[in-house]
Amino acid sequence: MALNDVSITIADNEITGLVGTNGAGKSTLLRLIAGVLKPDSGEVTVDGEMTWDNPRAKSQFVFVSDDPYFFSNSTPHDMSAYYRSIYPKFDDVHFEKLLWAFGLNPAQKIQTFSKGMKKQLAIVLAVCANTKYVILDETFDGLDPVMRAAVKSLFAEEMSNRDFTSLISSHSLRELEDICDHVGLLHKGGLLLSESLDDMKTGLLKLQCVFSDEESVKKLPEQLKILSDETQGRLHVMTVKGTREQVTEIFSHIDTVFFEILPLTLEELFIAETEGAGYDVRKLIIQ
Amino acid sequence: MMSENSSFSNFMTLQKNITKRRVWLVVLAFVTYILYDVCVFLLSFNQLGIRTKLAISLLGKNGFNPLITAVGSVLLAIEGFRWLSNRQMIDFYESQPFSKNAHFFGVFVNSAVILFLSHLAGTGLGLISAAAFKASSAAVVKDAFFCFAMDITIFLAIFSVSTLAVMLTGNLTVSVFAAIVLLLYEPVFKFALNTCFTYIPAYVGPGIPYNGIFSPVLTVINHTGDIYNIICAAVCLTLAFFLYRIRKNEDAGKAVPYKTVRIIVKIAIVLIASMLTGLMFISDDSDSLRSEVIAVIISAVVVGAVLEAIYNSDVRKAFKGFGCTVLGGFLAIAIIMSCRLDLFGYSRWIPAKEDVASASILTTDNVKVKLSDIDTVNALLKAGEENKDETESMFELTISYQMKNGRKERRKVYIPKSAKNLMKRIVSSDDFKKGYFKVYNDADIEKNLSRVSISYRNFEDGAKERFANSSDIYNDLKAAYIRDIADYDFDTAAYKMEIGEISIIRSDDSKERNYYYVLPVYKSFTNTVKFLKAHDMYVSPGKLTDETGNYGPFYVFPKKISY
Repeated sequence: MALNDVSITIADNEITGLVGTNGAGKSTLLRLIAGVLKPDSGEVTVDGEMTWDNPRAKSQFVFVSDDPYFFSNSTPHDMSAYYRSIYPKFDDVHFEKLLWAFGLNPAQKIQTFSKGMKKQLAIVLAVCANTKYVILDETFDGLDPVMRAAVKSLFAEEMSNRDFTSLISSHSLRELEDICDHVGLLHKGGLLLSESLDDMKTGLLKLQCVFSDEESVKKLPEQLKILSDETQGRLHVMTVKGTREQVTEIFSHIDTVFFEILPLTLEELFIAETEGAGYDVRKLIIQ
Repeated sequence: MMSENSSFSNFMTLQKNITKRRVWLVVLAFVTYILYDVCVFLLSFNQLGIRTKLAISLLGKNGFNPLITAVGSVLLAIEGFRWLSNRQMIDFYESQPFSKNAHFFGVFVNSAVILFLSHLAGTGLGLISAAAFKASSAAVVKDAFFCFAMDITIFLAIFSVSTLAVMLTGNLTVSVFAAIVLLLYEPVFKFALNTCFTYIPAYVGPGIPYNGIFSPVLTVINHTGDIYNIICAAVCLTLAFFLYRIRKNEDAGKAVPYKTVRIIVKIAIVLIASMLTGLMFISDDSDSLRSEVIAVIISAVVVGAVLEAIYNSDVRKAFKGFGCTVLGGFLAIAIIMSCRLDLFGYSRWIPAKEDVASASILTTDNVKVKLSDIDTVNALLKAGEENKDETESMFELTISYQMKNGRKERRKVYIPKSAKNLMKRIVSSDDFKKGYFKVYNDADIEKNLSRVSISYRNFEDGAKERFANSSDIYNDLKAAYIRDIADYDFDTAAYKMEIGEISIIRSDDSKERNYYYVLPVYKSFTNTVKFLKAHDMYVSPGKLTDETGNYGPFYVFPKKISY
């Protein structure tokens, strides 16, 4: 069974990332959402409509698989004609503009494109279809940093211009770090975590401090929930639960030489959230 | 969005897209039909004088159009649904806003349109070419469109069977193989069975008829069964659609996704492959039994292993599911050995007299003679069935029974020398003479004696013939011949050579309905010879003797007499 007891809700106008190792069930989940696979039990809905064998629900999204398909001997122009016939809101002007921006020749045979160029073209076609949702399966993986940044800015532009919701899977958390509003972590067919980054950040703090003496550590009150504590000499780097105000208040009563609250990276947020559940997330998604 | 469009508009969009992705097939279909219907026609046009017949033979049902249609139907079905075997294409097509039903029937309608239009173009241009060379006629047009209509049923049947093959499999190569198996299994299995039957000692063909029951290929070859094609299409397309609906897209790439199908296919393929291998080693010699069994076992193991390796895409799993291999091989051995060793007693069967409505023997010159003496026929059959020594055999004889329950039973046996008395009894009987000699069955001749001509020729130096056109001598000949037949016996039939033969022909004005039969003349037929001499028709046999020696021809039982 590729997926078991997974329940996830994707909000409108957000970019949701889905991370997990190979075989975690990311592609299966995306294919279920795209109506390619039929769930054995349960239901997958888009705007309240089941996606399996439902053209009306499917007309709301474009699904780009991890290995996108193009007609043999076709060019980007041929593919845009095909997409136009299926998605009536397909934006030709935007398409031409994006091809130029990504440096893709509209008359070149797609079979001569590199793997990265094919992924870029698939993303451009999906965005220009002007559907409400775009589902991308590991599409970012394998793009070079410049192109990844370009795609991210493209998504940001789309979100600012229209209703645009995207679900992106990746086996690497770092690929999604600065683009997602919401992240889900899949592992062995189950959903370990699904939270908005804002919510995650609200309850977690990373701080570094140097205590006057190590005995002060023991004086930290029990209400301060320390998720991790790494030391480098006398420097402690801690991840703790609580608001900025609560933590500052607690540390004001502790004798410290140095105290500073730092921003948390997505990676650190994940580590903090999942280690408590007994998972070594570094091995799972951080490469 | 698509959902806002009408269903028809969606369907047309799908049609357009399907056509785009298979342009090469459209071109191939048009080129093939036009090439055949027009170019071959033009190239063959030096055959002056038979232009209309040529046009009929090329454009009609006996031409190659049914074959082109059959091959085209397989290609259209496999190409049309090949996306189901490829994960990349499944992700692409199944995520698009079309229903599964629209995809299925979209491919069907698109294939039908491609085939019909290309066929129609070929036929139309063929007819125009024929008209340009003044080879067209109402018959040509009628035959061409009859062929077109027949080809529609061929398309329906073969496309449906091929679609079923695709739905049963999950891999393009295996789909092609499955289509071939579904289309050809029946004729090949029938061939294997019929070949096995020939090794039953007393078996008489023609065996299982090659009319299509499951395979539309047979109806294409036989140019029959248009209704059957439509029924076959309805059944297979329904089954294919059902499988398409329940088929899981995650099975794309698997050779055969359904476990039950894997088992049935493996047993069926191992069975037929083992049978065919066994038949390559089969012979009447009892010493070959061991090599036949070994050949079947090796073939079963090899074919079973290959199939299992294909199923699992892993050679290391070749010997999984060995039970199916054993069952398939066992069935092959059982079928071959049941024929070779006559396990069901086919060649030991003798009917109870009270169950027989009538009995007859088929002479080696294919005259079926009905006999009322069932006891003697049964005794002859028993002697033949018990005869195991070929050197003691006189000749081969086919004995037929019409049973009271309506069944017909036939046995081919070698009559031993020890059964000579039985043969004498049969050949001397009135039943035999009245059944064998056409002079007793000449109603067609008697209908118009004024048109009858009689000729006689001996067998020396080819043919020396004398003709007598006078009809009034026919009854004299008949009377003389019947007097001679009274003494006709087995010794004459088997050991004496004819000295000549009389041909009796009734030709009608239309020249399309001629009646014809031949009467053998032996040296002992003195009344007949006297008649021939009286009418100046007799030709001396010359050096020809009526003793057979070691060569023929012999009239009644010419081939198997031993001396």
